[in-house]
Amino acid sequence: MTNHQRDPIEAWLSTDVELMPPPPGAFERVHRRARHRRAMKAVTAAVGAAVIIAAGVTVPQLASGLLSGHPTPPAKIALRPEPQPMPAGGPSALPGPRLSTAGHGPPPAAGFRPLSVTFVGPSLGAVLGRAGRCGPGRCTAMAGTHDYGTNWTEIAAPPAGPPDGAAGVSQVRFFNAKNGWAYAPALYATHDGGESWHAINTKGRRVVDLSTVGDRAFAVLASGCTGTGAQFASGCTRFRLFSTPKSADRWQSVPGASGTGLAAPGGLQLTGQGGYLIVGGRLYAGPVTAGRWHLVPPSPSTPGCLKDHAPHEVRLIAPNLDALYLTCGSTQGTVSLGLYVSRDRGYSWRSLPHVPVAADAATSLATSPAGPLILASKTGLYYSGDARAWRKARGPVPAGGFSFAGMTTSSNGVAVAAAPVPAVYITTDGGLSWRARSIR
Amino acid sequence: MARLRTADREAAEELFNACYPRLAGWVRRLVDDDETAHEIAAEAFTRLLSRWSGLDNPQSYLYMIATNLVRDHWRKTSRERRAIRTMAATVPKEPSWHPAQDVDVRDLIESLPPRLRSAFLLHYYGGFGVKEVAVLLGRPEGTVKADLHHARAKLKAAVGEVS
Repeated sequence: MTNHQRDPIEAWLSTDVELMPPPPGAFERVHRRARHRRAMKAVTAAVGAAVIIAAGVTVPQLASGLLSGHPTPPAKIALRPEPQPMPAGGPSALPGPRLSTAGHGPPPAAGFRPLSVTFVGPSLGAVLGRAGRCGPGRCTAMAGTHDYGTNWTEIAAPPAGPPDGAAGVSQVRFFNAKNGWAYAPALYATHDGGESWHAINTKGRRVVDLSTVGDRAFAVLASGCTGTGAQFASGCTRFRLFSTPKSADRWQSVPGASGTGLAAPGGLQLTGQGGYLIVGGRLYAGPVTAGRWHLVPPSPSTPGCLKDHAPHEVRLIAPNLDALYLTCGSTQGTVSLGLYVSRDRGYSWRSLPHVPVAADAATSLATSPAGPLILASKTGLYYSGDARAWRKARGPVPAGGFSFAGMTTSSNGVAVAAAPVPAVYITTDGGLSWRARSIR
Repeated sequence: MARLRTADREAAEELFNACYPRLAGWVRRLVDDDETAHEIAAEAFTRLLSRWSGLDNPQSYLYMIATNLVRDHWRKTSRERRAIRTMAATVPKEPSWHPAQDVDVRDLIESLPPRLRSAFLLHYYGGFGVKEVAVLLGRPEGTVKADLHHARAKLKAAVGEVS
């Protein structure tokens, strides 16, 4: 480039834009100011109502597809030229109802038992589960809802059975009404709302976790695993984080996020500001672009469970825009879970009062933009509005408790029972109370 | 109604999380400090969210607002910056130009006529195609292409004069 010195315009234009994550609480401030300004505008009540309705219908589509045609932020593309390990391939399922048709199709398959749930907005969601007798490779079923779990209809499922070695699926995640993935331990993708699914070749690795944010999906793949069936993630010795644009199957390894250790389901947590991955007592963090992740170095305030790598330790993380929460405790003799919070992305931590749940009972930790924490456990769902005082959430507790709880908005959340019951559990008050919603 | 408001907010947050880092970074290259970049990016989002439900392309609108805010910022600070440059003129310049020295190029872009500047920033820096810029600015594509050509020619000429 002989003209670099002579043509600063070219050089300036070719310099990548450095991404600048928003300061903590920035969205809250922006949203508050926007709401105030909107209120100040002299609009009629009727027009105002129409505007809100239009936003509710159209904005999710706009927002989710915003960056698809936009150049990927080049400043953070530092991918090492590693080979793509997961070219698309494999059979497709027979075309079936799309997620977008949820609420307007046939009822869910008889005997549907949910395993995993995903929501792509305040009302549209899907569950993956089992129905009927599990023959070779075929008993996975899916159902969709367009009214946050009140009504369910059948949607097409990937042609997979329950976990069996590196085959089968047990979890589902949709980015929007079009792009979704069924996984754990195999990996299937759809880009037409579930009408058709195709297998992604993981080359024998097992997909332990998968999450989506921004315009990408991230997946944790493990190798060296010895577990079978539902314990497919046990015994794994190595892990590697991969990511892909949401609407494509271009999975590439995320630099800086691989190594030895036992990756557990739920260890990958993403926000719009960044992602976290906890593996065997190590915390990794990085951008939710295709950029490099890093191992967060321990500091004097780092909890012990992030300094040692004890195998019998439960570690659950839940980030929101302001904080990263961590619960941990040994499953051997500990009566309650330690709770910690970091407001600088895992570099320094503050200890909070313990959670009144035995470590070996905790299964899932969630938080929401508004801040409350929800802990799912074998004994029920627990709620804390300030990360200090905990109360048991109101509502039914199925036998065996819950395997998962997550918040899709500040008010709406969903939980999945540990036992195969034909229902999911819904909250619409921020997690204080939960109701069973049958899937039938 | 509460559910609709929740939907609105959730979609707004999704948009914010997806677009803010790049928008703020984009602005940062056009202003002098991180704080101003964050202020402008936040203000652009505030204006967008206060009326976004009627928009077909919120991302384009964001960049248009940000472009205008950057222009306003330049206008406000131009007197101060001129004074600083006058003082700095006594300091010997480094012998070679480095891409990181955005301010020099920024000054040149700032000196472009507004008509050329908007097209230049949106296309070459905002990453929008000629067609999108044409829609954003309400001009024919051919006109935008010509504006971009003229903008580059002016900038190159200005660089020649400076050096």
